[in-house]
Amino acid sequence: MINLTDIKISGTASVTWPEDAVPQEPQKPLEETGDKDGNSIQVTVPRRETGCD
Amino acid sequence: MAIQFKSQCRDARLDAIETYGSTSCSFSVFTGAQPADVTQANSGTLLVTFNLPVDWMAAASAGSKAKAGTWSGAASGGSGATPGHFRIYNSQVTKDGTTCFIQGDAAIGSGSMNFDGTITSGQTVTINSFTLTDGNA
Repeated sequence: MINLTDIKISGTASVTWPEDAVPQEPQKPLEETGDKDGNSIQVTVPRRETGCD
Repeated sequence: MAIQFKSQCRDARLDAIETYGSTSCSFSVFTGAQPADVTQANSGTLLVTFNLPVDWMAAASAGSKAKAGTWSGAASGGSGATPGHFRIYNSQVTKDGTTCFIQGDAAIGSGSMNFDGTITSGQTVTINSFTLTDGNA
């Protein structure tokens, strides 16, 4: 009796995270700002003058 | 000694597999050992499933037939899961023992389908190579 031999399967596969779904390190909480009593501090940024002379 | 076929005969046998599968196939990866045969129900946890290209295999040559196009999809299951087997269906809708016509073992670093790591839902699984090789040379 003569037998057929098997058809063989060989393959390779890779597993990756999509670029926009790479787990990030947890972000640090925003630093608290305020004076010693916990009141917020308002910072005024000078408006930049724009326009024609 | 096994029977021997001419190269073109081996190619024809391999091409017949793609012809049988037709142009609307899908690919799935599960955990655990593969079922006893392709007619059995799916088993294990489904990790990823995606549709294959219309022309999913290149023409056989010298008794070998490689995948064609991109075989890739996003994992829908698993959390560091080890792939155990894969199945190919001749349907992109019904994926069970009635449509499965190819299955094989999978593992990390070994197996018929050799993965480079575990699978977690959301990851992209890409089949880089898939080759059928006919014996009987």
